[in-house]
Order: sequence, then structure tokens, then C-alpha cells
Amino acid sequence: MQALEREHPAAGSLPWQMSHVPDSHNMGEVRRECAAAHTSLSKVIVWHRQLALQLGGTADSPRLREELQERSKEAHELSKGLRNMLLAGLRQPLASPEERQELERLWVLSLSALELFHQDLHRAHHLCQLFPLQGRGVQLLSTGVTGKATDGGHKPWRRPSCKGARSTEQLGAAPGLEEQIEHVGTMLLEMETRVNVPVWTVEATEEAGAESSLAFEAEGSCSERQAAEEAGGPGCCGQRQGWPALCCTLS
Amino acid sequence: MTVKRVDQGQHYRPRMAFLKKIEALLMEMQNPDTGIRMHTQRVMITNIPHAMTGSDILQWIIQHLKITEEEALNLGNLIVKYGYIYPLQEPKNLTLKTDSSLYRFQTPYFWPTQQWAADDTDYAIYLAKKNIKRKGVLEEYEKEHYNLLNKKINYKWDFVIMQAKEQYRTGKERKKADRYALDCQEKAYWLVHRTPPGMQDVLDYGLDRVTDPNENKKKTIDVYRREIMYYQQVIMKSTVKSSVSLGGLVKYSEQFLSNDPIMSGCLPSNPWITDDSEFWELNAKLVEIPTRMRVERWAFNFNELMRDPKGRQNFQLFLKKEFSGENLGFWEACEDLKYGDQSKVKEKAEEIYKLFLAPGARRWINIDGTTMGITVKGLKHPHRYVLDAAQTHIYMLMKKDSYGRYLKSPIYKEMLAKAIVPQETVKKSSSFPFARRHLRSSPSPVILRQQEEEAKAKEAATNVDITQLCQFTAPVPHLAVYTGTSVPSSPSTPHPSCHIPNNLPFQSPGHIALPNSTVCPSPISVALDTTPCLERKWDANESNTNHFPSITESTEISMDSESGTCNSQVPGNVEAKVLPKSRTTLSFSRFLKRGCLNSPVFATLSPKCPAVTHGKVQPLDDLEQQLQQKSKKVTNFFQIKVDIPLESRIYPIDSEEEEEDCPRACKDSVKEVICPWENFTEQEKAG
Repeated sequence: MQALEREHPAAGSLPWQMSHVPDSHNMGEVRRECAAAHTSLSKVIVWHRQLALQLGGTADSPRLREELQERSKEAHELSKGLRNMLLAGLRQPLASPEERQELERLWVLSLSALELFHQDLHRAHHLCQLFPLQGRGVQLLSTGVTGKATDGGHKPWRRPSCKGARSTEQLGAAPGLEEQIEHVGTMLLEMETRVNVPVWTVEATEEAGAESSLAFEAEGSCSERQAAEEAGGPGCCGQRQGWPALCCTLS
Repeated sequence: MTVKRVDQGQHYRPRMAFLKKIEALLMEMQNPDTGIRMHTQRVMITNIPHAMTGSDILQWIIQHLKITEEEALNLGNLIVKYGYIYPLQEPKNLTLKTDSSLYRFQTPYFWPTQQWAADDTDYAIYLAKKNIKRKGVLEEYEKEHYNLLNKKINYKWDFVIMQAKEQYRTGKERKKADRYALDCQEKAYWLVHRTPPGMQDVLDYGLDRVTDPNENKKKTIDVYRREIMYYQQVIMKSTVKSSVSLGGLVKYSEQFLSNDPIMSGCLPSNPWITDDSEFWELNAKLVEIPTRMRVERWAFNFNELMRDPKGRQNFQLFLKKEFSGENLGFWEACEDLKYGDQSKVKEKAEEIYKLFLAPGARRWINIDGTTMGITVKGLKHPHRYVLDAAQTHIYMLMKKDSYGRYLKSPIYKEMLAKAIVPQETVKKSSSFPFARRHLRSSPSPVILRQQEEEAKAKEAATNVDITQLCQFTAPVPHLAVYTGTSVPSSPSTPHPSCHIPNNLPFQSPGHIALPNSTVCPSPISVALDTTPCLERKWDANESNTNHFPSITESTEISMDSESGTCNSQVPGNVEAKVLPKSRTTLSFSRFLKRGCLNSPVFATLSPKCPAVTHGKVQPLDDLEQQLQQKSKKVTNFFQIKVDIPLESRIYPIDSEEEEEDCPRACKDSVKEVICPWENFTEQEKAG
């Protein structure tokens, strides 16, 4: 598939295309880099979503919003980098068909990631407007989620030393978010239209349902996990026996 | 990138003002002073804050909005259904229980909004995550969704799985109470936005809109101009006073109350309740004896009569007596044209024209000149609705004129007397729920169709219009046979419709088939064999017609007809071909003048048609060969046929001038009814 021939003729002139060009023409490395970038983008998107989930609830706070901003910026940067890498990789005519295929697959996957991120940004923006923290009379919802900062595994919160700078930045939060949405939107559009990679050529590498057999490390005792699962679905699934059985298992 | 829509520009969800209102109410509930009291939910060893009892919610609504308990309960239910508050102990039961069952507020991220619908990708991630968590244990409908999504967004499935894993991993890293709350939230969200089967999808709003309801249009000149146009049109719309329209509604309701099966019950019993399908059988489309309710309904208004095929059948009997049967026939033919096959529209329109509208047509209907003009003009480019004007005219004619007399006629009264009132059956109490029920399936549509066609054939056979003399000049499929006979100047042709001998009979129920359809099938496959068939049909017919038995005999004697008695399923379809005049012809024409056109005499004249119920018309060449062999007989046969000039067809036959005109008109009558918009030569159609 000669995807790149259909690219915009002034390909090399736009600034964002010049930023990251792989030095080596080693396709394997490019692929690995792209895959790694994609994975980290995916992670950041998940963190962003986690934060957006708490918007408007009791866990909402200026710090949360800052964190949200940072995550979104991070995601934005990552996506830009990923895109450039992929573009560069796809542009190279020396690629073998499998590698070309792999890169196209990554291209499609990164498009999906960006799409999801774009959507999440919209949501976050909408919620930020709905629940302005400075505004009065807008109560935060008691959602039961009191997310303290002990979010192990997340990036640690920024030091409060730069808090002064943060507050001024926070005032510009709303327009910043809007800008970002626009940026991401245009990037998405560009990516979709400039490089002609038909979406249907990419297939899933794993079959459906394969993830159910994944072995995840138990985060505590087995019974605790079971209890959490049981608690998560009292009376909903047909297999659940209800509270009495739960008590028995937990002893 | 994702193929989001296949549409006609409908991208926008309609305004959902109620969402904003619920949200405002929810905000008020949060107030620490005047809001709802919060409890703590205890899940095993963890405490999760911010739980409220159902009764608290209800009380708060009642006090805050100052409404009755019933209304508050309704509102509370709605709030829960839309997913703003979710139950903790019975997650799937989205109702507000006014006891101490616990509820919690949904996080705003999961609120329903107008701007976007719940996304498929999100759902896929959720399902994959659930798969991971539960090791593949999903509900049935979830499994279905999962498989569907796997196919639909297969290209991003890797990303979906990646996200699911990542979400699962990060979710585990939160503290337990939060994790539990988040899980509950997400589950509640998907219960609302991807409802399991059996639950009501409250967010179903119909179709998407083309214009964005939230858009603030800048008021440019163009916008104003459009608004002005719109309002002008609105003013011009015809309006009805609400008192009048409401009065009409009331009247309708009162009139139809007794016929409504839900309001007034139905006899013998409601099949959905008692499993007894007698009700449907008694009210079948063309049942022999309809129920009394049904017959009484025909008297409500003309539309009711016309809607019911049985009613139309009965009405047609009456109209035949009054010699205006062609009106209903035309109406039904128009209905068939409107609702039939698009590919057959042109043919049907032509046939209808030839049968009903052409000057001198066999069943000519009486419509005024303007309507006729419009119709003929329209027929140049026929489409489904080309006959609408004429159809409406005839409809109104029947309604204003015949309908009134029909209701007073003995035919209707007889039907009313005959109509049955079914006995109410006792509901069979099935005490043994596993009793083997005798399940009778309704008759197969194929059989029903066959029965309908037979009925139609019967109708067509008995259908004779005795108003017009031109009847016998109507085309029949077997007329095609007469081409190339010993009468050289005769145009071989029959109506173009005969060329299409494989016409299927019209589809409309109760439709009286036009004779040029294959009601008379397989015309002369056994051309002149003597196979008396369907004589009984003529017996049945006698009661309806004026019958002059004496004349029959005399004409039979005077004719050197072909061998034996021939019967035809289509009466009176005597070919009007060019024939040398003969005395028999003259005497016969006089006979015809007396208007006894539907006597069995005609049956004897027409060539025999074996009683084949389904149109299997022999290919023309076979028939011709056969005929050519028996040409002598055929000639004789032709002599019987009456030769009436075209011009005189329209007028009642009471003048003696015809006879003189006959010779001259011989040649004229050669011409078949030619569609004014078509230009085919007779030679073309020669067999």
C-alpha cells in the first residue's frame, strides 16, 4: 500500500513534522519506539479518565483539576510525538511489508487512542464548566469517592512549592482546556485525512475473550479479592448467593 | 475514523430539557443543610460514605417541591431510571423504593447528556475489563454485545484491550472504598445506557435531528427571510377550531367504543388471554358470515365499509343490482395500482384505462369531463397516483349516492340479519400449567392466497356489467387465439393486455379480477372440446340476473354453434371481431339490446376453458395451430359474435339505427380500444 504518496505535497515543511525524525533507519527500532509511545499514551489516557471520573464529586478539588490539566497536556505531547514517529516510519520506503503493516496498525491504534482522548477532553471540559470550583452555589456531589492522594501507581502530585504559579494557571484552565480540545481535534482530522491507511485492514491480534484468561497478580489475599467481587455485585448476577454466603467465605 | 453514522445528515440529539431540570434538583439535594441526610454504607469491612435511604429521598422531594407523595414517587423513580441516583443493594432494579434501601449519587462523568451518547468504544472497554475481572463470566446480553463489538470495531480491538487492562490495573491501585464506589458507578451507568433485555430503555428518544437544537444562529437577513416565509406558510395552513376537532374526537370515541376490543371486550374471547383463536377465525377477511359487530360497523361511515373486504363484497352485490358495479371495480383497481408492484404500474394503468375509462370501454365509469381530461393526460406518464383524481371522484360518488341506498337495501339488511353474535366463552382456567395446549397454526399464506384467487375468479365469473353493451367486446386471454383465423381482415388483435397472457391476477383482496387477467386461464388449450365445466356457476348467477330462458333456447337453435356446450369462466366475453354479418348476428344483437347480457347464453358461445384455477396460459402458437385446424368451426363461432360499432357502445341500446350502422361500422369495430397515447399498429400485434 503506497499510503504516503497521497500525502500532502509540502510534507516536510510543517513544523510539527520536523520535530521528531528517527535517526536510525532501523525499522525494528522505530516500531518498538512507536509501540512504547503508544502504550504510554494509552496509560496517560486512562489516568486522565480516572481523574475526570471524579470531577464534580466530593473528590474534586483544584489539585485534581491541575492534575487533570497536566495529564491532558502530557497526553497531547505524547500523541504528537507518536504521530511524528509513525509518520516518519511510514514515510520510509525501505520498510518491509510486515513492518509497514505493523506501523499501519499502530497508526490506526493511535488514532483510536486520540479519538478516545478527544472525547474524554470534551467530557472533562463540560464538567469543569458545570462545576466551577470558584463559583458559589454549586455543590459538589457526594459520590462516595473521596479519592485521597494516595493513588499509588499514579505519578505523584506536583510539589506544592509552585502552587503560586499553579493558581494563576488554574484561572486559565477553562480556556486552556478548550484550546486543547481544538488542537486535538485538528490533529485527529489531520491524521485521518493525510495518511491514507484504511481502517479495515487492521485486525485484532488477539481473539475475542482472550483477556479473560489473563493472569493478573492478586493485590491481596485471594479471599479479599473475592470479597470485593462479591460486594461489587450483590444479587445482580445469577450466580451470586447473597450476603449470607459472603459472610461464610470471609471468615 | 470510527464509522459513527449512516444517515441523512441527522447528527444531533434532540433537546433534552428534562436532564437539566433533574440536574438542578440534584444540586439542591447536595446542600449540607437542606439536602438529604447521608449515611454510610457498610460493605463488609469497608465503609463507604454518601449513601441515602429511599425514604429520605422521597421525603426530601415531597418537602422541597411541595408535591404529593404519588407525584414525588414518580419523580423519584424517573431520577433513578435516568441514572442520576443508583441503588446499592439491587443494582438492576432501577426504581425508588421508599424503605431503607440505600442509594447513592452518580458521578457527573456518568450523567446522561444531550451532547453525546454512550460510546461503543467505552462499552467495549468496560466489557473487556469485566471479562478480565470476572474471568469471562458475563451476562448473556453482555456476551452478545461483546461479540458484536468485537466485529464492529475490530480494528481498534487491541487498543480496547490495552485500555481495559490499564484501567483494571489502575483501578486496583485505589483504595478499596473508592474502588468499590467506582465499580458501582460504572455498572449503574451501563445499566442505564445499555439496558439489559427486559428493562425499559428510558433514553430512547427516536431519531436524531438534522439541525442542532443548541445552535445559536446568528440573525442574518437570510435567517429572518426564512422565518418570515415559514410563518407565512403557517398562517396559510387550514385550521380547525379545537371545539370542532375535539367534538369529532368525542363522537368517534363514542361511536367506536362498543367495537373496541380493549375497552369493551371482544366476543367470543380475547385470544391473547384465553388462547382461543376463534375471534380471529370469525373475523377473517372474507369469512362467509361476518359477525354482527362488524356488519354494524359498516353503517358508521363509508370509510368503514370500504376498509372491510367483506363489506366491499357485500356492497358490490348491491351495486351490481343497481348497475353501477364498475364504480367499485374501478376503485379497487386503483387501489391495486397504488399499492401494487412498481414494475407493473404502467401495465395496470393501461389496463384500467382500457377497461374503465376509454370511450366505449367495457365497464365504463361515469366521471366528468375535466377529471377525465386530467386523467388521460396523466396517463401519458403513468405512475401510481395517476388515477387519484378519478378515484376520488368515484369514491365520493359512491359515498354520496350509493352508500345511503345501500344501507337501506335488502342486501345489507339481509347480511345484518345473517350476521352472528358469538357466544362468550368461559376463560379456561389452566390449573395445570404444563397441560399440552392444542396449538393450531393459522393456514399458510400460500393456501390463503390460493383461496383468495379462487374467490376472485368466482367473483369475476359472476361479475357482469349489464349496463353496457360493449361488454362483450372485452378482451380475454383466449382472444389471442383468434388471430390468424379465417377472417383475414380481422385484426389479430386483441388488446395489448392479451399479449401478456401470463398476467397474474390483481393482488388486492376481494378484487374482482379484470377479465383480461388470467382468471380465464389456459384459454383454448383444449380449444373446442366439449368439456362442460362450471355450469353450476351459471346457475348461481341466475338469481342475480334477468334471465330470459326462452330467448336462450331460440338463439341456441338459430346458431350453428360449435359442438356442444361450451362454458367459460368469464361470461359475456364474446369477441367482437370483424365478422361477416349474418342473420344470426342481427337477431343476436336484438337479443342483446334487451340487456340480458349476463345470461348463460354467452357462456355457451365462448370457447371452452377448462377449469384451471391458476393461470397457465398456453403459448399462443399452440392455440393458433389448434384453431387453424378447426377454423371452420371457429368461423361459425365467429358468426355468433355480435358486431356492434364502437360508437354505439357507450349509449344504451335502444335505437334501431345500429343495424344500419353495423355494416359500415364493421371496420370500425375492428379497432380495439386504442390508448390515445400509444401508437401501435394492429399488424404489430398480429399473433
